[in-house]
Amino acid sequence: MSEAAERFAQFKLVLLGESAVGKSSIVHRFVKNTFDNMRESTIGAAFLTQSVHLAESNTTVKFEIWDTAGQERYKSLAPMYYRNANAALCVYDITSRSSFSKAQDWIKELKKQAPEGIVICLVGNKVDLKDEREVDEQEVAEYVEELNQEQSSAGAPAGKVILAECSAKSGDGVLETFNVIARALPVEDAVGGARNRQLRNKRSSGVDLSRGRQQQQSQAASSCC
Amino acid sequence: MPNPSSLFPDSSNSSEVQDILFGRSSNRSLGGNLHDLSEAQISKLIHLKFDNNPITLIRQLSSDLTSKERDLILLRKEKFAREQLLLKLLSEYGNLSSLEIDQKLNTLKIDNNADNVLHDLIESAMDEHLNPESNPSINNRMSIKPTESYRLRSKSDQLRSPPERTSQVTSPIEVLSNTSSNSTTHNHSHNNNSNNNNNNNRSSSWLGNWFNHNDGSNENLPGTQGRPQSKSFSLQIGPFGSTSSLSSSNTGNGVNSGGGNGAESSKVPVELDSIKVRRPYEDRTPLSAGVDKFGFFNDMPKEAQKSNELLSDEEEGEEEEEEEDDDYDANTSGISESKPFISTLVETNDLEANGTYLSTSKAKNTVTSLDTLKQLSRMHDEKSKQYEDEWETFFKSLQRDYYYSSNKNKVKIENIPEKDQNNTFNSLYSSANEIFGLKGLNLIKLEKIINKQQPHHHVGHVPLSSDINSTSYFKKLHKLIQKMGIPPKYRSQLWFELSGSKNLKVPGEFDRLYNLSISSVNDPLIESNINQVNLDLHRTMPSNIYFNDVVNSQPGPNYYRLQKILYAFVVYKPKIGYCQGMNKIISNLLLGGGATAASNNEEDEKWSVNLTEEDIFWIFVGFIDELLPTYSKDFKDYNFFDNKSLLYIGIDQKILSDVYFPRFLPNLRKHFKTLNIQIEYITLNWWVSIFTENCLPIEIWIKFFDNFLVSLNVEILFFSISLSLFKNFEKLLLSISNADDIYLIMKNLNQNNSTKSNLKYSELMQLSKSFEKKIDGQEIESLRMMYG
Repeated sequence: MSEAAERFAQFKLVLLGESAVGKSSIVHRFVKNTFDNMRESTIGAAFLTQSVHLAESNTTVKFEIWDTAGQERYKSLAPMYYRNANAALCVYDITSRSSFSKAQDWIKELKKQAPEGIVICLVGNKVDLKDEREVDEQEVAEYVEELNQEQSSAGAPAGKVILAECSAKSGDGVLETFNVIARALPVEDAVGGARNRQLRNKRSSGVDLSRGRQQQQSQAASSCC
Repeated sequence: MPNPSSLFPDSSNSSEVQDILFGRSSNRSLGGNLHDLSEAQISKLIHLKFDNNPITLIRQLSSDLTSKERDLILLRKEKFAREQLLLKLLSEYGNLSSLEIDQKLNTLKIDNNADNVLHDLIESAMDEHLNPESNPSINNRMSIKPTESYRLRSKSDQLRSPPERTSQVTSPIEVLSNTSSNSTTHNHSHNNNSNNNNNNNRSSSWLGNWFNHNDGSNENLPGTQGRPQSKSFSLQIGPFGSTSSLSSSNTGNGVNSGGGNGAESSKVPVELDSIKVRRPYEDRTPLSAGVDKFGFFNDMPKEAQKSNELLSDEEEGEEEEEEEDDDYDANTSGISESKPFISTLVETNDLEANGTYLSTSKAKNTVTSLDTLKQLSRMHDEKSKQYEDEWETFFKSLQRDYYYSSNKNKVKIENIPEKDQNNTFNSLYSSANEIFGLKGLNLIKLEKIINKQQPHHHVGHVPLSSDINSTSYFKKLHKLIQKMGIPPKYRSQLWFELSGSKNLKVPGEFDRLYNLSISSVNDPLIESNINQVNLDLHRTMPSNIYFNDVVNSQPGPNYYRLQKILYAFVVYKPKIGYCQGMNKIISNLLLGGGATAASNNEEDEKWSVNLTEEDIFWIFVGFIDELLPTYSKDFKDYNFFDNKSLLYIGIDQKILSDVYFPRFLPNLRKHFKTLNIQIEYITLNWWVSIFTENCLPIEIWIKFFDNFLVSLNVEILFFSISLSLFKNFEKLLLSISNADDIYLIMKNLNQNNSTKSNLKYSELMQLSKSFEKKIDGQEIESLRMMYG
């Protein structure tokens, strides 16, 4: 059994969303698997990294996470962070309608301003507070569907908005969300990119990348090895 | 001296073993060590003492070993925690860099020869003159082997004094207790060894323990009243009540004490207890343990917190210290007794794996390094004293000149009590006029007046101090602040004046604004700002007890102060409103500027006026209005916290990274370029939060804030501080070839212990000063035009 060499890819992910919807909490759940009721508010933007391993493609995806401040007045700084981002997590709080419309605004802005092909994920946080839910799941699903239909009718490539819900407090759905994003990211391109050090090392040690890629594709097609 | 052989059931046969055990054998360097015995001797021992059942012996030995191990680990952990605390104190109060401390510590010579060390310890213990009046509060608890129906009672009163305990604790080995028996109540004395001044038997002590051990069950006897007469003190190590005491030679005077159930173990390393830890910033409300002087919860492990607690408790006084120890001991021995063998072992391993305590060799060094630490703290105290004296002198000469100059100009000032030399600052301050003024600019005016006056000196006129010392007051103030910041006792009042708050403050206005903020909910602008404030209140310094009283699970006092200040500010400057970052700045001001800062002695108490939230509000307003950089565009000035300013702050980051970085830090710039690091990702956070957010630790920030107040060009200072933070870590950063790691380091400066401990005010200020000189305000202006 020949197995494809493990591959690495690194992506920049930016979190956007209204103040206090739980952006930092989601990141900390993802990166450190901790939750703190008393998290300090983020000023400017915080930075963390975390990797996920995609077993099916034997790929490790490393996220550079830029966790931006939610306050409206820092909005003008956001382009600095999503400028060259590969993925964006637009977070809203399911117990706050206004945060959902703010997340919609972010999606609009990203569609206009962000680099083409950015993976956008709309995440509803705080599902542990389902009794206080203000944002209807169905409604969000319809919104996203509509958005994605617009997208495809416009003939734009891919770029579908991913929909997710999670709770940073309980941990539900957090890892799953990042896994879904990792799968949606153009791992193939990034693997070939010059930014990946490990990969360059591999190349110099004689691993033929393109073959690895083909192998990977055939694997994906037949899903057997 | 009672015959030690009485310990043995068959004393006629035991003299040889006894000799061996008590180290009297001449052919062994360390008599009494079990491993030194011949096989025949060991089997004899087993026969005699353990009815031919070696299992008891082995069990006893291994349980002794484990308890030893456990005690050692606890000791090490505690030492480590104390040392850390001391280091922290030194760096916080002393501006001593960790490098300086390390260098000092490295000069220590440690004798690695155990024999020499032990010898010295014993010698010094022998020389101790113990105070017989000291409280013999600790009873020895002995365990008896019931099968032999020996009734043993400890008779050694414990007279402890810190230095001795110091020496004992560091010794891994103890000397057999030397007790004299009160024959009317006891059949036997135990552990008696009149030869304990012999170095060779030092190591025999813990072996001696197992003579008195059974396999776990103790019988405790009620004790008779004992009076401390002998100059002996005991050290008990191990959970089974094994006692060993180190005595001076004249133990003949009978000592009898209650055997009883006094659980004790003097394993607390006491040399540190004698260092009183002061917390000058302590609030009126007592701080709970594990909270630093600014009220931040330490991230210490529980064990360390406990020792910290002990340490602070001992501030209460000597007598109480004794009690504290007892409590603590009772506690731990209780725990250890109930702890089965295996679990102790497991715990041991866990601790080992954690590596949170000092390595064995380091633990050895602790005693000596602590002496050095003491020395360092003394040095530091002298240094700060010297520094305060400098301020004192400064104020005195300022006062004199101010007095004469205002008299000359017929400026009416309230009488300055010249006689009251000790009250220089107060009298200076109490005058109706502002001596310092905003940014200290009044000092420059004062100098002008003085200089004008000088040619008109008449004979007999008292020479102005400026005649002697021609340095200008403003420069002098600037220099003093650069050196170590404003001394805490002057800080609150100087903040108040230098920020311009004294002029800004309108009596009653603060309360009016606050009341407005609660009532005027129909103003959407204010309302939305209040909402923003509300979102952040509980997210501001949640790890500080003054903001988040976790003990009572309610907001702390500063939470409400912050709320009041921010609410009032939002009404005061609705156009600026609330901006994240303000919460951090105000919190730091609240912590540093008096609301919780109290000085550590009455003398200082007199000077320092605790700033109320009203004062802090006006200081904050002054800071925002008068001191922070402003940005002008199209003939309009934008406040630093104005929404529009973000753009210009961003431009300043461009200038920093594209102009000043290549100019002042070319290597770093090159390195960052290859790693594709964008400096503004790091520095923008610093700027918008005025270096509070994940940047400067509060104790350093406060001193930089002192500098902001007298800086004539704050933006230059912003640039130079940014550069010096990079310069400070230049070597480290150059050695890292991963962009992520560099971001992680530079974006968490005051979060990581390693970077935090490498931030020193004096070093940063030095660097910042050197950059400040090379940065030209005019150039910044033209660069802004270019990049804008």
